[in-house]
Amino acid sequence: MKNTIRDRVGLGWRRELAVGILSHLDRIDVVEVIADDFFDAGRDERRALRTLAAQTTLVLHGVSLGLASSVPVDTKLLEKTAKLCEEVEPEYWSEHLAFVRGGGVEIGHLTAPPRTDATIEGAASNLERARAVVGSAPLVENIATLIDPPGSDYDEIDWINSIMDSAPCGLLLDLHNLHANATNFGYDEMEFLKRLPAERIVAAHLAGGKWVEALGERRLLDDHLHDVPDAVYRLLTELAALALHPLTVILERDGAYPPIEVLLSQLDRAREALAEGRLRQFERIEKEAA
Amino acid sequence: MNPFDLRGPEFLLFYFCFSLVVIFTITILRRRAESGPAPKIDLGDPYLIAYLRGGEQEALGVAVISLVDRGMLVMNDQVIRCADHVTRDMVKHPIEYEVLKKFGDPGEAHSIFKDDNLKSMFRPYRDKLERAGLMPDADVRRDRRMRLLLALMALGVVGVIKIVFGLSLGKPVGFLVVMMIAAMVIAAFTTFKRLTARGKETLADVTNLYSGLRTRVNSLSPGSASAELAMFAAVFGVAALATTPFGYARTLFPQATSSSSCGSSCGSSDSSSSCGSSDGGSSSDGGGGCGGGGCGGCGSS
Repeated sequence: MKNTIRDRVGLGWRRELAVGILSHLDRIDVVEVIADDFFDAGRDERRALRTLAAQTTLVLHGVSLGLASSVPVDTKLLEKTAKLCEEVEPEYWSEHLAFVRGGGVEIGHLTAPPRTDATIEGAASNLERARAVVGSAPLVENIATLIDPPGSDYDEIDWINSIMDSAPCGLLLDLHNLHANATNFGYDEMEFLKRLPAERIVAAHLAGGKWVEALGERRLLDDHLHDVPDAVYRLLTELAALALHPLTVILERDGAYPPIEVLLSQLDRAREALAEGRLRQFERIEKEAA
Repeated sequence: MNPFDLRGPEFLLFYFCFSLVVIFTITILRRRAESGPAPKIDLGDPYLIAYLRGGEQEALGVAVISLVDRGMLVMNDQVIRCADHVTRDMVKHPIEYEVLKKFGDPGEAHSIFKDDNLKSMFRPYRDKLERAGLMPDADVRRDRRMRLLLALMALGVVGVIKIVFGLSLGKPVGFLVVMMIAAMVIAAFTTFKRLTARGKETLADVTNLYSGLRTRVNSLSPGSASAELAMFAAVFGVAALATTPFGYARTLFPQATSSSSCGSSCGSSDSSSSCGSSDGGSSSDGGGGCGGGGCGGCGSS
């Protein structure tokens, strides 16, 4: 059976990778741009972003809204997101299920909030506000954490599913974040993936990380500076076997940039993982039909 | 008030303001007519970008720099030749192939700027950029001429009427004649731009998208990142390479880089280009290979 699901694979836009990305758009289906980099950009920079959007499919990714918080999202940031979305017309925009500020202090990091009813309600409320201001709800992304958030009443999967239940939004599943958290806190990453609502997973992130010492233990840090590990490709295969719709897969790399060929080979490997998952899905469907 | 009743200095002031309005108007009209959203073009092709920015000369300069960096051209001061090991299948780009072929016989780098055959290689680029609305095609050029004609008529009619009045009254008209000619020249200058407004904006956007190269170029080492080097030269100009690790551009194109940054050292060999003798030595590293002799693969087919 032929795979007819048109999954797409792309790269996160970084200025350091500009030559590699723009020279290989035949091998890069979609480019993800950090929205916050353009919130306060001048007219010329925003026009350049529109020019980039004219070359390829573009999606926006936010890092500063702090959706998963009992504190309402900053309206100004939402308005900036709305303006940027209006100008660039991304295929979708996304944000993290994290909090980034508290008591008026910017943490400067995507932080896992306590998994409680308050943060579930806060996230749902913030997502509704985001949808109202921007005109579309963001895809929400699971984040990595080195510590289990203190004061939590839910485990991560139940917390994410509760937010998904209470807000009509899609999920951007960061497979390395999932892998890192599963590794650090000792749960089964495949089981975690199967418990997510596959029909609402629109996109996936791939990245790499490194081992660090934290609280006297060895932990996997999601640093986006290393190659994608095999376990993440296995998760991608599993995801492709579960999701019945096309997926957008983005490779994130934030530094220690290798030659573009290395990143392109990781994209190729992601395509192979997707194809393998799709094949498994078709075989399963055929078996069920028979 | 009839402006033709104004006295000499007052009329000159009026005519100056009138000229500004006319030139401003045709400029705005041109920009409006030629603006538009960025088209989809191959932003990864350094020769297309270089041609958009500076025409054949810039694009050929980029080709030479890129081929030297990849060790396919070897340099001895300003003289370059195709490396011995180069074969036709080593380059896919027809422009690069033609440049290699030209330097099957050693020659000065800047001699490519006079090669009509090489320049004609860029005709498809010109056509592509015209179709994308980034360079003026026949329709745009016709519209430009029409607007300029109207502007010249306006400037001419107003100026000539006053000149006739002035001459009939025996007044001096020299300043007005000079001002009229100057206004017409400026109107023509603002009309016949090499790029359309859309082309100028797209070029600015490309520069913006590749702005990371400005800092990154200093961390590149010769021979290791030719694609980025070629794009840097395409976007910022061969002249901008003078102060980077690819300073051999200064040796190859001293005139192009002289306005950039090189002072007394222009023309002298640097570490990447110094050659002792023409002995057919190694030619595998960018800018490092030296020697005479012919070109095995690229000059003969």
